Amino acid sequence: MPLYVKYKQETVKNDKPPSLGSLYVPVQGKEFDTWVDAGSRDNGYDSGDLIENPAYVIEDFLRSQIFAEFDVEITANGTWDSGTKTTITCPDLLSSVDDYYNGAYVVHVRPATGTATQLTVSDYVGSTNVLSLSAAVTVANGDYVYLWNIQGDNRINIASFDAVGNATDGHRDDGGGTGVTWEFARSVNAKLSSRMLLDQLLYESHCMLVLNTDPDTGVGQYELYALEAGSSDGTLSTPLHRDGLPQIAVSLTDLAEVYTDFTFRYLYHYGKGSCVKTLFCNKNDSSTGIGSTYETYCQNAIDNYKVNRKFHYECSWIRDDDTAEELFKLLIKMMTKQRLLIQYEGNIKDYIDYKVGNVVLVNYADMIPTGVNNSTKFRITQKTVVPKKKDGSVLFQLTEIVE
Amino acid sequence: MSKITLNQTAGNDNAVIWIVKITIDASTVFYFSDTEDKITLSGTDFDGKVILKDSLQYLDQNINIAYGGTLCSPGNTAVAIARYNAYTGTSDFFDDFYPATSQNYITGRQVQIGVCWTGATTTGEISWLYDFYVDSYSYDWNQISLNLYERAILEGVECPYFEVQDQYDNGISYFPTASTKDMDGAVLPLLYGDMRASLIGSLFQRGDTTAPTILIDESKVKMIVAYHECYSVSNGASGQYECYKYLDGVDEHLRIRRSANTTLSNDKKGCAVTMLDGGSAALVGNLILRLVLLSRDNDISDVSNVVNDDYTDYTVLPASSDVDELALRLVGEASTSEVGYLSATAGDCDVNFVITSDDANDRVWRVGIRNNVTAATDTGTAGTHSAGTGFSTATHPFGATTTTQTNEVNDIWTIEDVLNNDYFIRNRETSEGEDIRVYYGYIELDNIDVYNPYKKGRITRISFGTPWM
Repeated sequence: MPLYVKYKQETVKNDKPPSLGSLYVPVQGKEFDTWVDAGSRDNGYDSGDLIENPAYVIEDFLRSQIFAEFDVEITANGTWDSGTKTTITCPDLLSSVDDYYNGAYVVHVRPATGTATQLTVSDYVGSTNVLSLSAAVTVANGDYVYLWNIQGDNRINIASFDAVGNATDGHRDDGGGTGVTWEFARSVNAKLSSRMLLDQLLYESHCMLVLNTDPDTGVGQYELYALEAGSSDGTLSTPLHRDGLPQIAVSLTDLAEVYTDFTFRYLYHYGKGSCVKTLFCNKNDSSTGIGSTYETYCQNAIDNYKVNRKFHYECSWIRDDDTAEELFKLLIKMMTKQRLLIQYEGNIKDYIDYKVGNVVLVNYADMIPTGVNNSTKFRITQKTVVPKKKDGSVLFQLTEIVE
Repeated sequence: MSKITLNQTAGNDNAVIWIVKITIDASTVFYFSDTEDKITLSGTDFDGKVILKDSLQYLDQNINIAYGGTLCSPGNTAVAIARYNAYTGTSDFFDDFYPATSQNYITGRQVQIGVCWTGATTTGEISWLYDFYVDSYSYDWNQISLNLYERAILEGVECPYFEVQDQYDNGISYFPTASTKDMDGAVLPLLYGDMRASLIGSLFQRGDTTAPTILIDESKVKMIVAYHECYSVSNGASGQYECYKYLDGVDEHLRIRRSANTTLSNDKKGCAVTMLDGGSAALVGNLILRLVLLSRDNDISDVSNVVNDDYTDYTVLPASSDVDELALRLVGEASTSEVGYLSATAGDCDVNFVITSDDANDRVWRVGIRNNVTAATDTGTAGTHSAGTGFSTATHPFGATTTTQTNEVNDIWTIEDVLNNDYFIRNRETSEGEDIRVYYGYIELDNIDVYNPYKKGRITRISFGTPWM
């Protein structure tokens, strides 16, 4: 009789390799390009530095996403002589204005070799769509390029961005008075509208972005302002009168905008699809790092306005504790208070030079409350020009600044 | 920011002149004013009989900051041009612009509005105040009304722009290989800031994630991190690039590495990490799981300081002559198809408890494993804490020990087995007061075979039992 050996054959779940699923990589994102050093600009950051200051995340976003034209084909209408060129013809470019693309970056990836080059446009002829480049590049008919930073320096008010972001004394950097350097980080890995992304960036940096026009060039320029900061740009004291009455009206922000109990979540977790850190503050208690001053703001809001409302926010861009605490404190301070709104109408001669974003005082004791008159700072949040010859005027809405 | 610096000293309001400049293309620019006739500035006529009187509407800009930081609303206005005027290019307008044959488009074209005062003689005295685009127009018998908006292009842009496609080779988002079909339409990320800080170097990795990627080539495990160049990509101690996989069921990240042949491509065409760029070495994983769930065999009344996220507090494990246990389990679920195959090497699968003595003396301990389904117990490893009040780790390496596996005898360990067991630590001291302080416990699984395309049909084992006739 044969001797058998009892055995068991085990095949272990090896019909196919495990699924890799979603993978994550530790990385630091975009770096400054040469725009940060253009001209005499000096904000403490240089080309090649990591962009994480929110002022410059916003600026780079504008330059690289908004002021950009993607997938522009290189061609010469059948007469192209492929090779190393210092000029390329791009009939699909949107502008036909001479020099419009001067200073823009051109990124060309050569499909045959994978060689990636970024050059700068030195000249543009609108009638022929010919770009002159800062150096020769090897291209072929049918290659693609993309352009960014188109009109960047004309469309960004550099001084306003540096006031917010400057590494020495910017409102969102160490020198801004809080001792905290704000840091933003995010991978935008799904299509979103640029307006939504900018709104998120601006909300979480507590800044406003306005479009004013350069009086010399007539080109709209984006200006950035930290909401809680700014020195006075002037005093409004001579309103228009109609029927003998000064054209000033005063109101308060809605009571529905006052909150008393705050929760704030940050550090977005891509695997979970939600934030994983929380700050809180109410009249009784608050997270470490917030403190009794802010609990008192909550208590005061309850006492003053007889409301008890909860506020909750989930961050998209904030990952670090210090930045989260700074924004949280600014929001509590602002949202536990009804702020003054002033409608003010003036003549064109004296008021046409004010713009949205300016900080002003209002000196008109017959209408502005004691303690506020000629003392409290207001931000111009609306400017309406009535361009009539006989009856022209400038109408402002002013919003109280919570410093 | 200071106020607008006007290019001419402001005159009285009845001397205001409004200027409108419409740029059709490089060679076609219209100049108008609201004067009775025209003004000439720097030799250019600004026709005064083209814009209908008082047709320039309110010029409005606003931003609502009631709730915090935000973006301005695009301003808008309108202006009407008379049908019957002597200005070449706009007279009898309905035949001057598209859709009239071979005529210019006017929508999408720039309209700038500025101001000067009576007495101005040069274009340099114009202060430009608004930069609009023609959004649309309407006309009747007498006038064409241009509806103007500020650069509302902001609202029309979706970003990031690039997404995976196989239609045309732009050198950036073109991935025609079959393995990328599932990724068609995936967005190539735009990345800002530091997406690594709180994960690297931390023992437990569940609190944070690094940057998500687009897996563009599964055979090479090539991942697109961003469509642009990045500041830096971290690599591990061996100098090789690493990646992480989030395991939702256990709320942890599986750290994936390789000993050689990982590469980084980081330039103007984007940032990509390739984990299998040649060679035959496999991807291996490291997974660390906190012991946070109470075992039914636990003998210690309060283990909250062991299972909380404060790694500085502790639970006391009294001397019990190797009897009483602080016993814990893992929480959650994961599968081999998610994690990969665990290593059968002893030191690659460890259960650890971080401990100290409550005085300067040594303490003896035991760490083991129990399977409450099969009732099998691995009595584990006995050791000595010899660091006084300094921290040490009581460890039992169990990779080569199959006693407490659930599914099969003599099988390799799987994540399912590991999740199924209880893990305990005992104080083997005999005298009352010789306590061990336990801070936290965890399982560390190393050299996990995460993904190895070079090994097909692997692991077929034969286990031998008792001979029979």
